[in-house]
Amino acid sequence: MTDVRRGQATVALALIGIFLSLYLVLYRMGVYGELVCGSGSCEIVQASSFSVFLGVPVAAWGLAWYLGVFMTALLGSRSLDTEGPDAKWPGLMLAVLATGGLAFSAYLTWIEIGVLHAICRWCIGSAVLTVLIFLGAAPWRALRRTRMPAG
Amino acid sequence: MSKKTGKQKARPAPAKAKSGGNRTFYMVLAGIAVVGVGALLYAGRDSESQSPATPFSVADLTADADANAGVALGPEDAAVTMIEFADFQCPHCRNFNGLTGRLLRQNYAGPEGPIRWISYDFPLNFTNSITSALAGRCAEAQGQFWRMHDLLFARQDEWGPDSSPKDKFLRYAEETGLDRGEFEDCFDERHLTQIVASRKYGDELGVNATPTLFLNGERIPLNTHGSYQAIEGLIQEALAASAASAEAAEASGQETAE
Repeated sequence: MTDVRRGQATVALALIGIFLSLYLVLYRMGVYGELVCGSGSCEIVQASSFSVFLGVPVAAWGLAWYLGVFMTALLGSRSLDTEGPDAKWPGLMLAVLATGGLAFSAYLTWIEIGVLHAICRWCIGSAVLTVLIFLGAAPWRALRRTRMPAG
Repeated sequence: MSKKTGKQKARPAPAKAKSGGNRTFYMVLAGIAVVGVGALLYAGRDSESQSPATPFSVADLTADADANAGVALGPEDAAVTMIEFADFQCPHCRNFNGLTGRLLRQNYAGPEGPIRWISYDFPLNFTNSITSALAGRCAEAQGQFWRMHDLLFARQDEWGPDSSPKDKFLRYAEETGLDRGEFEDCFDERHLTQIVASRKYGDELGVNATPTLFLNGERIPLNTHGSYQAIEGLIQEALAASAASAEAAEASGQETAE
């Protein structure tokens, strides 16, 4: 898969994540009376103290993160289109975003399983998206590129 | 060199492919956006988190509105009181009580409080609104209202469509450890007065949908019903306000004594 294709896949994944996190943000804002969660325990997770980070709902952090990934990957794909493989910044920025997102998502999943003993399907869906975005961003490749001598 | 030339020659074809690929990419994005917006709108179609009240034919029943017709949980002298008007067959009441209401009662309306939670029947015009309210009242007669309350909401899909759910309610009575015979005997009009008084009390307070919550007399906005944290925040504010006014009263009492 080329860098451009990988970037486009990341844009698509981030867009799905934007809608997913937007749904949870709207729920937090009271727009939706209930969460569609099937047999999951979304409301336990959403009602827990862990659903807020630094005073801001985790869903809003997620939305901001997905928007960041979306914009970076979209603009990055265009840069790769025009500048070719010389455009290193998209890969680097995505690598940083994806690694941070993966770490935060892993922490949240651990909270769900280890502390709350409740699984929110939306959170798991977001975790899967984060892993896919991380794999797409392939930070190890970006790292290798920055180490390669110019020219 | 020759490699470079080869690449240059091959450029037009990838450019075409790229243009086609980009079109596919933007189509995929548009597809995701359409599905996403559609899903958000679909989820919001029921954003009104209450069932609208519809005329209920109890007008000919003579019970008057009665603030004491509810079933209470938590200490009598609690400084903060939450009252809820609900119908066991109302889907929004089930959604609210399935988790948010249950958690709030568990965390705030235990035997030691700090709040008192009073449930009032507000039967709408569902097929089994009255029958299910009677089931709740008959469980209350044996001191097990809240267990039956939770069970009725949890199994709403089971008894809701049934045109004659009494047998199911009798089974629930057994499951909740009630005396079946006593429960069955109770299942007549004797509690209807309380149910009607409860409903009329709601009418007096301007209840027009279920569930409707009042915290210390203040109606809780509809859009917070689904959110545990929003209601918890209001409860904590009310508790803090009542603690502050108690402190102020104590201080003023001390000043008067001095």
